[in-house]
Amino acid sequence: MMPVDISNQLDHLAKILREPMIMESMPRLQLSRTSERERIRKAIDSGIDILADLKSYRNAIASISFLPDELLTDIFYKVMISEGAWYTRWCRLILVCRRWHRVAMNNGKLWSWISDDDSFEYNGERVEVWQTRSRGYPLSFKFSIDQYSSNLLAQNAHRVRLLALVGHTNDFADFFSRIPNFPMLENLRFSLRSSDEHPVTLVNVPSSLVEGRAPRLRRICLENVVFKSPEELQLLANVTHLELIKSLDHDHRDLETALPSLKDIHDTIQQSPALQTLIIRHYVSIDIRDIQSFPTISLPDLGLLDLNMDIQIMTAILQFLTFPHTTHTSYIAHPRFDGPLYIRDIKSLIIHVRRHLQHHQGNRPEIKLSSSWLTYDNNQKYGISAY
Amino acid sequence: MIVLKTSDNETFTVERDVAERSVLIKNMLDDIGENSEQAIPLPNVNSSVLKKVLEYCEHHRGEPLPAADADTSQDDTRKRTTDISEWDQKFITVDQEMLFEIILAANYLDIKSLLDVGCKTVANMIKGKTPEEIRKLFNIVNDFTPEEEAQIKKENEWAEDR
Repeated sequence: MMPVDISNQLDHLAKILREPMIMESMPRLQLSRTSERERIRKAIDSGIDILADLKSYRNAIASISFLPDELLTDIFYKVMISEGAWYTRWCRLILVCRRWHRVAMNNGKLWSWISDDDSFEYNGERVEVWQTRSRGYPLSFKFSIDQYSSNLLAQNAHRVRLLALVGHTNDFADFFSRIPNFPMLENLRFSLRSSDEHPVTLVNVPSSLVEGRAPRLRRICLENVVFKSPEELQLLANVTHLELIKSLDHDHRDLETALPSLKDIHDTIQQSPALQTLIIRHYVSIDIRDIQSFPTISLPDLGLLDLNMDIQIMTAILQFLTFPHTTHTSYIAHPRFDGPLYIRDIKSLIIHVRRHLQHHQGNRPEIKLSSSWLTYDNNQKYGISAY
Repeated sequence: MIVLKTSDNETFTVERDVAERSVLIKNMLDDIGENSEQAIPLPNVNSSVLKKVLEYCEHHRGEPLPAADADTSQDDTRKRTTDISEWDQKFITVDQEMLFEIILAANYLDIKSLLDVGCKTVANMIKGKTPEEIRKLFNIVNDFTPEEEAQIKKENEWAEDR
């Protein structure tokens, strides 16, 4: 049934619509009077408001409007994430209708992803707006380092949940020293990229992050960034997502020598038995003395294992890991560091790959050996994917 | 076996583990005890919707229930956010009215995985569409006054109307 106020508004609208017709029959002199024009203008404005209210009422009885605000918010959030949370494209949803505008504006979660790159159409004013609209909700920040973003991060450190730092320079060096604590930080992505204009110098993850300043840290991705010492790396405990990547080439000797040993990697993994994702790409120092047997580590929750490294190191890692047959795996093996690639290295690797697949149900797992890269890459690589 | 009674007074007899995919029903069963033969009233769900919901619960029986505090906010993988399994996709291919009824029922019955499938489906429908296309899709109209719309666009210049 139509609500009483809508019914009253309809009556009122009808009266307004009739009034201009009455005025049409009035003498021209009266119509030209300011007060009459003002009265008509007000009547039109009122009519516009009433029409908008009627449209809102019409929207309210559309089937999607039966969803409560919290479910509509959840849907908006899913749209935002799927279209790219670091972009502003999702904001068009606030232009759909009054209710969608109200729902989006009142939910801090939707405004909690803030980035300083071009995809966010970054400018200081926009970031301030986002910060205010996020209403104290835990924030996700993606920044390259500059003075402004450092200040902004310092102001909000108490509610940063995801922090993605990407940079070309060594400006990271004293970045963390300005921030006392990250009590909410769960996810840290820390990437150092090189370019011709910005040669890379070694950057360390601040010790404090593993010494109690980020007690909720569970997901870590380090790219070309290392801890000061292997002991600090091993302080990483109970993480669920660990990504250790070295993507810079061999010219970066500082980084090369600071990489953890195979034993350090083993001991670090051992600290996080609930790992769900483990990605290691070239992030292990290569030393023949490191290749030895280590105690087995069981990772029953592992959903993704992605290894890209020297074939001997990879084989050694697979030797000490056990994980479910359902784990999605990706292996890219590079020739051994101390000599040419031998078939026995591949055999040895395949033995371990198959060991993890022997209880696999359903279709027989497929192991692909690709040698196509040999044709364009002198640094021989073999890609093996098992699924 | 458990008996469920819908808003239109139809009864459904289902196995306990199927019914217990709903946290609401599970809690009710815990409260009334093991041996009660009393039908559980579900005043917010009609028979056609409950039939669909039970079809979903039957198919997913035995699967681990998602954690109550599961939050996708940290899963910034776009794929996972709107990914729906093949069976679920086929199941949720219904008219809009039924889709929203299923979402409301999943919310009321507290079946998180079904609620997630429903919301993902609506999100997928919205994805990539302009405001006008969205209005058309859901049969709603632009109810802003011209002044309101101008003001909103001014305050949100990054919100593209396309």
